[in-house]
Amino acid sequence: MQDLNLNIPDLGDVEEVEVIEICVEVGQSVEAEDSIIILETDKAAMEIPTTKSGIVKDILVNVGDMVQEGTPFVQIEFEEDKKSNIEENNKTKTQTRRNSNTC
Amino acid sequence: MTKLAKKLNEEGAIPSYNLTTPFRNSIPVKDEAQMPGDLFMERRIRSLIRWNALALVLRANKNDDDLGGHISTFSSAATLYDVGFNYFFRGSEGQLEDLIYYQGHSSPGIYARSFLEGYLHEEDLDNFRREVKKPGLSSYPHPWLMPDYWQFPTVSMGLGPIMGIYQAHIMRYMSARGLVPRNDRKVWVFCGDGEMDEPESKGAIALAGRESLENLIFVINCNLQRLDGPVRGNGKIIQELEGSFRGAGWNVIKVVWGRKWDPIMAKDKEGKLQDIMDAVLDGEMQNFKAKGGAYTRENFFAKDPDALKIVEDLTDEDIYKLNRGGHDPYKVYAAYHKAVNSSGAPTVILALTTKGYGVGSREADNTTHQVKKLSLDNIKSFRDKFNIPVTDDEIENIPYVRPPEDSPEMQYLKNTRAKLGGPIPRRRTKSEVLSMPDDKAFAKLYSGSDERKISTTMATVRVITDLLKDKEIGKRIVPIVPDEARTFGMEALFRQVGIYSSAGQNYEPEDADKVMWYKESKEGVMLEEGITEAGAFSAWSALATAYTNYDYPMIPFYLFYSMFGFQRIHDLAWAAGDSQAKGFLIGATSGRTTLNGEGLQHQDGHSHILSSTIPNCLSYDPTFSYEVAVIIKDGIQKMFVEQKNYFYYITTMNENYEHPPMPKGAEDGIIKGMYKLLPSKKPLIRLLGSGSILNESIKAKEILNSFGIESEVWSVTSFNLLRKDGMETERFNQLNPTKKEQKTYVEECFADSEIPVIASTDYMRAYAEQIRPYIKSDYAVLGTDGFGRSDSRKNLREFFEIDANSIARASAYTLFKNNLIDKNKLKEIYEDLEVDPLKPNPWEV
Repeated sequence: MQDLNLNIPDLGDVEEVEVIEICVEVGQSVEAEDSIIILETDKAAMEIPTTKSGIVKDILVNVGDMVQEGTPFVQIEFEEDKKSNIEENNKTKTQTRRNSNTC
Repeated sequence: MTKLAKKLNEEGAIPSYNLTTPFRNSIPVKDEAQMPGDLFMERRIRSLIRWNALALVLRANKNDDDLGGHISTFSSAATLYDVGFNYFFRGSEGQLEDLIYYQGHSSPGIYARSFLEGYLHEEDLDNFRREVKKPGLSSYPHPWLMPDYWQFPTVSMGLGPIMGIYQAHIMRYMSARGLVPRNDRKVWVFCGDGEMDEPESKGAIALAGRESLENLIFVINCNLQRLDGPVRGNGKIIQELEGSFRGAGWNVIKVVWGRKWDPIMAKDKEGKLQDIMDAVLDGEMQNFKAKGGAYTRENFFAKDPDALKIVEDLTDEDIYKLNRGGHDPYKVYAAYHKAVNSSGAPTVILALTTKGYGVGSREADNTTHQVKKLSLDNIKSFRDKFNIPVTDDEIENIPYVRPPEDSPEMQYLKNTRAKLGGPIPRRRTKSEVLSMPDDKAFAKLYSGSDERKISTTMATVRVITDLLKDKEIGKRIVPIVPDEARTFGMEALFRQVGIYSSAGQNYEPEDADKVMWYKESKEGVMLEEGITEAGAFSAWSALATAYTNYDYPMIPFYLFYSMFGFQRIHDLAWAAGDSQAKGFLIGATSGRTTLNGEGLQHQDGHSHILSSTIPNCLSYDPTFSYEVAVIIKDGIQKMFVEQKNYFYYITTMNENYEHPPMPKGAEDGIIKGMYKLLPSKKPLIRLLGSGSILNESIKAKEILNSFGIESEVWSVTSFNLLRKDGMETERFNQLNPTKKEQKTYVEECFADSEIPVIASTDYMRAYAEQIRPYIKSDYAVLGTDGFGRSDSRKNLREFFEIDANSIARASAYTLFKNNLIDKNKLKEIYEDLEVDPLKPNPWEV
């Protein structure tokens, strides 16, 4: 088991966005792709998911906070994947996807 | 051949690819599947159907009621339907039925079959086009009028073809998501060759080819005539359609010639007859049927001496009887057999027929479409051609003919349908009652936006996103866009639920490293239909009627630029009303001044007027997120729990502002159409507003306050529903003069009826004008009559005179007129507001 921070992924054109909702509580178990927090730009809300299943250890942002790409927002103790290194786990699924395709 | 073409191309030549084949049957005689049934029995039954179809139209027109009706369309299509009914169209017993779009004008023939089957009776047939006093038979297929019979309204030309294509698309979508397996269920679309000139008819055929809709079969009845004359007098419509459909990736099966031509064509060793066939014009083809065998010999076969020789042993009568493919059950059977056994692509059958087949001297004449009365000679000729057991004494009454129940014909008829799953058409009137979703999807919005500035479009997308996760009904929620999801802030859904693609995603999306990447998937939920409002609406319509056509209710949300909603696809929306569609249409970026930068073509100030023309469309123009939540929740309750035949049109805006928490007890008023938002102890005036312009009414209240004038502010969520309530109440009072007079909801709201009322909206004045009869006091209406243009919202609202200052101006003037303020006060207010008496009319500049 490893504790890991998840960081805000690449949001596209927007730089800073507001956290409008936190969808989980500390101690809650989450499945991969479950939404952890919801961010809102001036046009759209977007749900930021966890990449893997595990237990929420800590929530690192509050509703109303402004965040940007790279901001750590949650700490999750992943259930498995001991083989992969911390670096790998720290990336979102979509980042992994691009890496695997060697852009 | 392909290699040769490639080689030529490399050399710089452009090889000519021909998309058409010679003008003859696509299936060679040796490859025709053999029809297994009793040909003679089927002809007898078909003849009776033909006769009864003729009789019901003729009987309907034996008086001065001007009921109308059509004989010639079904006469030309009888065999095309009959072979389908006898061998292919599946009914709904123990399975989901094939979905059949009948050509609208052929309805008499479908009724005639249901009469033989015993479902309709003589009295029903005599009520063809007589529907007011008791349930009659509708002129054309209309589910609203015959809810247990017709499934699809098809008679507005072109709508059947496009709706059929999207029906097949949705059938695959439902199956891909594992909701309703399609198995080998088919969509059959019957349409006319003239109908194919409607842009909607061919506008979506590329989608059908691209999506490999193997569950789709078009049967185009090519009788070569439309209402006024030939479809292509100077050309060949079958060849033209063959090229168009093959180019779009369809299997094309031409059924041109009947089997009486087979031996003749076998003698055409040199291809001379084929040359004549390839060159003959549709205008000439029409003459051959209208003018008989001798004319045909002289003007068709005589074009080449070898061809003339081939028919030298045939009499003129024999030549006249050389049948067309669409009237030959063998040829039609072979084509249908091939179509249902094809895979990987949609199929179109192009069947050559004769308009007014069998109606004596009116056959193939230029006016045959409108024939609803026939001379006695023509009726007798029809009777004789089809061996109808009606004597000369009886014939003037044109009796219906139905063999005894135990006759071989009736037994055969019933057995064929029993084998295929029961009689059709039938429409399912009941389906599953859904449970209401968890309230949390809505409750989030009741508490307001907490100082955040958001738009009602964002609020709507939040509700949809949460509903998609609902355990009870989440899988039934389908967001649909004709592109523009990013405009509406829906791009997060790409990743969250995926975009449906029958091919999946065979490429790396450009934005794969973003959180909101463009995810296509075979199991995707969202429908991105591309830039086709007619197509996206047709997809919505198919989902909105899934409760009846799939026995599986779906809750589709179609989001579009409101200007490109009803204004573009009103006829499809009318058909959706007829079909009793249930779902949500979200007219996003609405309001003539709220969508400010896009200018004249984009700024919608009238979609609520257009939506109000559809009787079962309930429309709303909410301002605040809690109103959106209440309306959508009530919509699900009414449509899917209470099973009411409504669909909803909700306009949403792209203007960001703060949303307050819901006032206590506001739900009822939000649903009925208005509620008091800002009260006042001693109001001199009432301000009504809707959509984003309600905020201008709120600002106007402050302006008026500064002049010592107290006002109330009312949020009007639907002037259309207030008008409906008004009409109903007025009518009730008129019909029940001795009962206690009922009050309209507007009267109930405005109990102090002497207080003047000012309404301002982002729509034409006609929208708010609708409640004038129910307001007893002075009533002034502001609106956005005129063409839109680009500028800031502030400037546009000033230009159209719907802003807070204009509301204050209208209020001051109305109060002055009612002696509630004096001239000096009016002057003071006008000066402060800098009212310009010479400002031009917004609708004239």
